[in-house]
Amino acid sequence: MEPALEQPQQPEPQAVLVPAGRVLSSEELFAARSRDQKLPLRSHGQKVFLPDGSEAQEEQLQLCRQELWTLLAEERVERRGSLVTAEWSPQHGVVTLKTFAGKFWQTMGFSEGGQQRLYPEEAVYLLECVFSHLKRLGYVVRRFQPGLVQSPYERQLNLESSSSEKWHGKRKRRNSSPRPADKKPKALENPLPEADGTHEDQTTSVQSAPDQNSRSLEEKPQEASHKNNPEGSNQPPESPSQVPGQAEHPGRTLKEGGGSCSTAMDDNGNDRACKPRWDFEKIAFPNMACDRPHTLLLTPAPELLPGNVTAREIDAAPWCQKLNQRKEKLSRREKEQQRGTTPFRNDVNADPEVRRCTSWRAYKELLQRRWQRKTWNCPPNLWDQPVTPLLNPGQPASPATVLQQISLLQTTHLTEGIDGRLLEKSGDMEISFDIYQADSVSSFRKNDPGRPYARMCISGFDEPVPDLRTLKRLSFQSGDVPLIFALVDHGDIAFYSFRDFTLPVDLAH
Amino acid sequence: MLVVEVKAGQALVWSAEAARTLRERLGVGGRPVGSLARGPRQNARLGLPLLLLPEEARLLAEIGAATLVTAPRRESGPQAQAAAAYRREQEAGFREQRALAAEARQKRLKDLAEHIARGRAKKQRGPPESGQGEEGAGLQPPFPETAMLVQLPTARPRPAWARPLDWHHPSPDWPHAGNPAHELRYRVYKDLWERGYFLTSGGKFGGDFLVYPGDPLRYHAHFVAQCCAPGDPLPLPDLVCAGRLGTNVRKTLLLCSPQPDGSVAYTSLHWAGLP
Repeated sequence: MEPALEQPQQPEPQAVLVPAGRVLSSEELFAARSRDQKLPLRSHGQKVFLPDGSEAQEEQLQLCRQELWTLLAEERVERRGSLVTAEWSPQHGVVTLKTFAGKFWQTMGFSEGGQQRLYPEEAVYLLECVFSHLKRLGYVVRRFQPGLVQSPYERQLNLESSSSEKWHGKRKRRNSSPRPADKKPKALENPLPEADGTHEDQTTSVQSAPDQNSRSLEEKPQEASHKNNPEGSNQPPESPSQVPGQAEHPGRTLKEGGGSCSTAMDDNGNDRACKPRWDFEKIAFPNMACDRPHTLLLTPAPELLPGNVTAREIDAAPWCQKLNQRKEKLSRREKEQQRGTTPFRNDVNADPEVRRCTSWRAYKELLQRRWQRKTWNCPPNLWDQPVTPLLNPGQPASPATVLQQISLLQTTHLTEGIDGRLLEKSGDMEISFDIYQADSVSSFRKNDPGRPYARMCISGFDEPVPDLRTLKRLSFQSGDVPLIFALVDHGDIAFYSFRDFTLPVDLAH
Repeated sequence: MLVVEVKAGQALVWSAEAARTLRERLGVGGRPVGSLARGPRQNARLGLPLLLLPEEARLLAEIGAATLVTAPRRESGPQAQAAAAYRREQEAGFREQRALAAEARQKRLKDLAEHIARGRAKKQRGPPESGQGEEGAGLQPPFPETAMLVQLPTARPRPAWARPLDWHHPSPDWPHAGNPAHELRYRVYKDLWERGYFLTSGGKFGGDFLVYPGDPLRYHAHFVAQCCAPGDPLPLPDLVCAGRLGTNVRKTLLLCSPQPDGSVAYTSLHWAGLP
């Protein structure tokens, strides 16, 4: 109340006293209850080109300015009941909440050591320019955690989306699709539709790998041939549409695997990270199938366990006997579904011609015959020499495929051709924030935020555009999430992004 | 004299009066970068603090209109004491606000007295009802602590001592000193400001400054100023780009080169067809 009393001691002779801001009295605070909450509409007419010194212009200017000063001079006044008390600890760079967090907790903060914490940009919301700009627009902004970047192998497994599918399924909040792809506006759409497609393909084919043991033997050859298919070999036709049917079962087991990971993290009391970073190439999962005699489980490596969990060696044989080994009972709908998929599983034995074969030799001859039938119109004088024609007669010879075949330079995409060398830190630029769209707020979960709408890199206006190496590294880190660069220019913020672009092939000429 | 707090090369003005003086008396606008108390969830209009361009801050320091200080560090004094003092203030404030609330209620009751009396008279004609309960509540209006209003100050709530910033020499808080780009921009900024123009940052149009004939609240910018040192090469494609862009947004490109004699040479570029 009396500033003279509170004035701190002058530490240095030339020190300057920074005056205090306006402190509202109780009357002013009380009066603030009834103050106008609406922003005035700017209805002062169009801007003019030249000041002409007229009274009308002067009056307009004063009006505008008065409005500005009123808005700027207004102090923030809140009801005590709607405020949260928190403590700033400078050495850790976090703000620890002392009272129960309000609604903001749904999209902000993290808990650590049993306490609710906020990052400074979340607590102060003010000078972190890009952060506050995006928050004011309603986006959910989370710090990007490089520790959660998927390794190439994890990405191949599509681990992230399968684990989140599990979550949503359990909570019954969203439909099972973790990717609200249809909500994306055009501008931000992944400019790489084909790449997306291949990604899915990889996913399904590799997903089946961990499940091989539990699958019956006769399915294996099919799987192998499916893997061969993309190589474009001219083997006897195996319908590639068997893939979706296959993917169903392995998907289920994978989800369970993801679930156990996340519970382990919860035990740790740390939900800053929702997905642990395992190196699956180094972890051997024990095969516990009932036909396996080997049931002695060794002690897991301590570095794989959460701090408060101990583990010991165990013989799982007695446990295996307790397993319910009855055949799975399917509901009628499930049975129908399975039956529905069988036509796509092109069983080799269903082929009557194959059935007529009595030996391997006969079968191989059949294949040979079919192959020759296909290529009967390839004269040996053209094809049985080192230099062969560019095109197969059987191939559909559209100009596009021909061009594709003879092109020396193959197009490459931003996220392709990444090796370890490229992933080393290059340049100063790093991804700062994950951005989630405003309309996802109601279903947003910090533990499992799902796929961000975009990731944000922040740089100054004077800094150069990132070089290709940095760009590739950042794009790879970002994965299939669009990467956006925010430029800060004295409080002005501009956004730009790079689009992967494939030159169209001109087929008319 | 105004005080401008500088941290990591960013000069900030925290008070509305200072912002007003800067804009109306000195023709220095700055740019609000904080959330507005009235509308914290929109980006169309922003509030304090005001972020000054390095050139604006230096100009204010050079003409003696403001002192640049390094942002004062947190007072190293006993924190617990400060917190206790804050709590005492809050309690006193709460008592005052409770009194005010009671007063406001009394006043409202008094204003409505006639209305209430009329209502009661009407009721008495109907089934009789006790009016004591209402009067009992009127004596002690409920004003829970959660309803107390608290100010979240934008500027510091207490005065503090700060070290003046030496803007002649580069330092972590003022890296601009001696930077050729800053020196070049500053000379252009100062010359145009002295001519009475109002300048803002010109990044969004690819220039260094936007030059306004008056307050940008009411007037359109006339020029996009681009600073180039006299000896620097000026590639023709860049010139075409800048000129084209300027014309498209109905502004004139202004090439500004400080001369050795202290003046600044201006060249304006205007797109025109052959006559």
